[in-house]
Amino acid sequence: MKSLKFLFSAGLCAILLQWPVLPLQAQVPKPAWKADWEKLIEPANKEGAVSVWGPPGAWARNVLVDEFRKGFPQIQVEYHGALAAAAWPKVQAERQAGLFTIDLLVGGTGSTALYKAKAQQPIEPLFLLPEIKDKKAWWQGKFHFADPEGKYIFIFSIGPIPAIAYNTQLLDPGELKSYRDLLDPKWKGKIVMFDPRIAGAGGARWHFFVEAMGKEYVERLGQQVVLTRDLRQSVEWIAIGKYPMGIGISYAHAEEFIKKGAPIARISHLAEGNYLTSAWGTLSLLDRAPHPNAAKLYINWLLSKEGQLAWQMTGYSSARIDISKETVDLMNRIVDGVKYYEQFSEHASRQRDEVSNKLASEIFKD
Amino acid sequence: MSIPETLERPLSFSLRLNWQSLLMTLMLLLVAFLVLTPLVLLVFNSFQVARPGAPIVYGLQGWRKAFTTPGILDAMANTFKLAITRQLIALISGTFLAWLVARTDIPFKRTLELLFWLSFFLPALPITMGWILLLDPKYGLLNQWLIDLGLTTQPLFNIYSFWGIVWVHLGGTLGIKVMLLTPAFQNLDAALEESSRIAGAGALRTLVRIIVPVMMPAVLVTTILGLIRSLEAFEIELILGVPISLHVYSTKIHELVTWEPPQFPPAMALSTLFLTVLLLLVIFQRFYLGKRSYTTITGRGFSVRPTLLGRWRYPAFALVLFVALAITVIPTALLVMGTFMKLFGFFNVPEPWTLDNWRQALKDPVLLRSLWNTVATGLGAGVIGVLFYSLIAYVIVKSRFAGKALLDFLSWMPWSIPGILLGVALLWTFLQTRIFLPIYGTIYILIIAMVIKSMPFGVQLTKSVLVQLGNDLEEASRICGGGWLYTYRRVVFPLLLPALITVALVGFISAARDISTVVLLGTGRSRTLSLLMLDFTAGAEFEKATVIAVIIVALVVVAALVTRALGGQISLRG
Repeated sequence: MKSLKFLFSAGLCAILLQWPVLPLQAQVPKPAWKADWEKLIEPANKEGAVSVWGPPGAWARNVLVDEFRKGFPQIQVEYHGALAAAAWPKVQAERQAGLFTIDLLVGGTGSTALYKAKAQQPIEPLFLLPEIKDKKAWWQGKFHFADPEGKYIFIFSIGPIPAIAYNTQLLDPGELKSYRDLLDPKWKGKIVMFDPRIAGAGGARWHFFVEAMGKEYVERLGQQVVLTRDLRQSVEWIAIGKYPMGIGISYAHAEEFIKKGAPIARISHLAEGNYLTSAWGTLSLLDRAPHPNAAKLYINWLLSKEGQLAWQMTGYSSARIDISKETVDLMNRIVDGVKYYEQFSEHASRQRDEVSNKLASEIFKD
Repeated sequence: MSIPETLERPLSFSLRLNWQSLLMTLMLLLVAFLVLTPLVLLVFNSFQVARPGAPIVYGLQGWRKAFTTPGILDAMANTFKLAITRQLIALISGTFLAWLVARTDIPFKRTLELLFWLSFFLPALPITMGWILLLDPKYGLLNQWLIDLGLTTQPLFNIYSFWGIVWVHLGGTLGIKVMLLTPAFQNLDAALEESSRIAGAGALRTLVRIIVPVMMPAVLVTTILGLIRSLEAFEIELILGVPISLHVYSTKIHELVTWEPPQFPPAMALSTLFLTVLLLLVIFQRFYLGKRSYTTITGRGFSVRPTLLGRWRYPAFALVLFVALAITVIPTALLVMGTFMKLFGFFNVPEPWTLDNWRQALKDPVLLRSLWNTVATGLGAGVIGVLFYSLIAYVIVKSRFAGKALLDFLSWMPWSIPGILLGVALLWTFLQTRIFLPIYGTIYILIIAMVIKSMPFGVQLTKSVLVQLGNDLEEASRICGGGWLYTYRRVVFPLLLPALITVALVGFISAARDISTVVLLGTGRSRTLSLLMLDFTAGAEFEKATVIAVIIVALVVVAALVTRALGGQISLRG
């Protein structure tokens, strides 16, 4: 009898212990995205590679290749680091020859030319992870695109670029409150600027001045600045004190100089505000991508929390607002109360092309 | 005194066998295809005026824009001023230095010659940064030392000037002059000078009437090479010229290509100036050389006795050493020093010295692959190039092939496209020719690109040696029944071997350091060291780029030493 009782009690305990588990397993099926995700891994691994055209430099490769491969070691990243403007002639020539070698393009203006040539696929339908699909997780609660249809060139990084870099031994930042202060005769020939007519930080800063300060301002500013076309040179000149300050210079170079102890500091913005840019942070998928599954996997990794935290290791700010901004350079964070001009939209890039670049060509005639 | 009578007519191989002329015709067609396709595509696309990505539209706007670009005339004038100044200085001093190295008894001649070789192959960007470090008017070390020593109160040198640009270029310009003229001097039969002196001519008259005319093929090749290189140079001008508004033609082309958005049509239209200048130079060269003969090597052998300098031997040695050190060792030392600096050229940052640049560059996973790609591309370009160029040169100089003048002309053509646009022209060529598609994206396509790019140099270098080779040896082969191919393989090729090894070296080194030709053809898999250097430079990691530059220089030195150990020289086997 005792043994019967014991058996009954033990059976009851076992049933009670199992009770919360069994119905749960039965009631909560695997979410569809998870099944899709698992279904994606195998063909992506089978493809074994994804071809990415992205920013130059080891800093970009460290994130876009090495960090990805930590999670997906079976997929090689055929990474081509170069300025995105160079992507267009190559991709165009390849497509004319019937070759489709690139899956994804990360960053830069080359993607706009690809959009005009209808060489991209809509990217949103490839988003699998709920954390990507959730628009509340992104800045302003929406997805941002750099193409007018809002389908092809996804912006995953948004932030300001420091307005001014200066030599800490030669300039008191308190002297500059407004961008109008740059027109003071004492700064004539003392401000170095990357040539705004050619691709680079100079053009974006110039366009901001055109938008925020107007035509008359940029005409006068043109008389104040000394132009260079070497990205490093502009920063080097500030560091050695040849020029006390620079505008529209390379953010990455300035950052590198500061890290290494050069007497440079930056001013994030002046009274009239600053502009927001995607910098390298755009992503587009080319049509007839040679590794469609691996490319889809890569998109979902890069835009996930994990991928965006990795991206922020570069110092640029993610457009995701649900992740820590700890690693983002202070100068690259959006500050409440500052007026920002958005430069990442298609409209802004058209304006820049049609208005600002023409003005620059008229003002800088050599 | 007239031109020496060592001078037979070029050997005439009649077209006895159809396959021989067929082979030469095929070679002509191949060369025409390889060099004209990029050129035609470039000109054709200069009329394609649609914006990037937009549907194709043809028009003349590109051409109109090209020649109404503000400042284009000034840029053109600056280009020619700079080019002619550099060439004049380099030709006069280079000829003298080459003569000292080749024809006199100064010590350590081979080491000195090697130093000049090196100066030609040093990478432009880091070297320019090194010179800025020394000669910047505000913080240049040399200027500061001179002021600290009380020798001057104002900076003496300003690297950002016309003469600063000339100076930075001088290393490479002088290097190539000495590199090409030294062997030409070595091939000069001393009996010619002795005969002239016996006939009563003084040293100057001998120089003007004997040495200079006999040296003319090499002098013209080096001058044309120098002028074309001067026209297309832009890296140094971009850094030193733009800040003082000294623009040159190539920086205008660069400006258009890097414009936002890129302006390829006007850039391509502007590049046609290169074609015009090249055509004029080649026509002049053919007109000048066509009526004369320059044979110095015959079956009889020749004398290479050096001129004894007596008490001038060591002062002359000191002079050559000083120049060689100034243009080679100083910039190389600055470059190497820069690799150990936290910030290149900055001594006043905290803890300025570091091994991190080397550590990070060496542990970069793409370094080994890039090194392998560089060696493979260099060897491929060197070996294939040397076979191809020597055959072309042989047909031009030694055959009676009806199309040889055209072949000669075509072999110059890759230089009619500035380097910055040759990359895109070759990209179009390879992609629009289906036979290249299977190897697109591999290092084989880089090898072919470099063989095309180095063709003028390789062919003209081989030609300048071949014209010094008399016909009696080949006639002997012909009498024994050898055809032109057999004669080339068994007689000419072995005689040319030292020069060909050098041509291969030039092909190897050009491939190792070239950026503009391969930048659009390379991929992540076929990335070379020079592309990795570009990657670091564009990615704001200049110090790591200098590490790669030093690795490239080391590769160049090893290749040059191996070549010399194998007996390479730009001359015939003595």
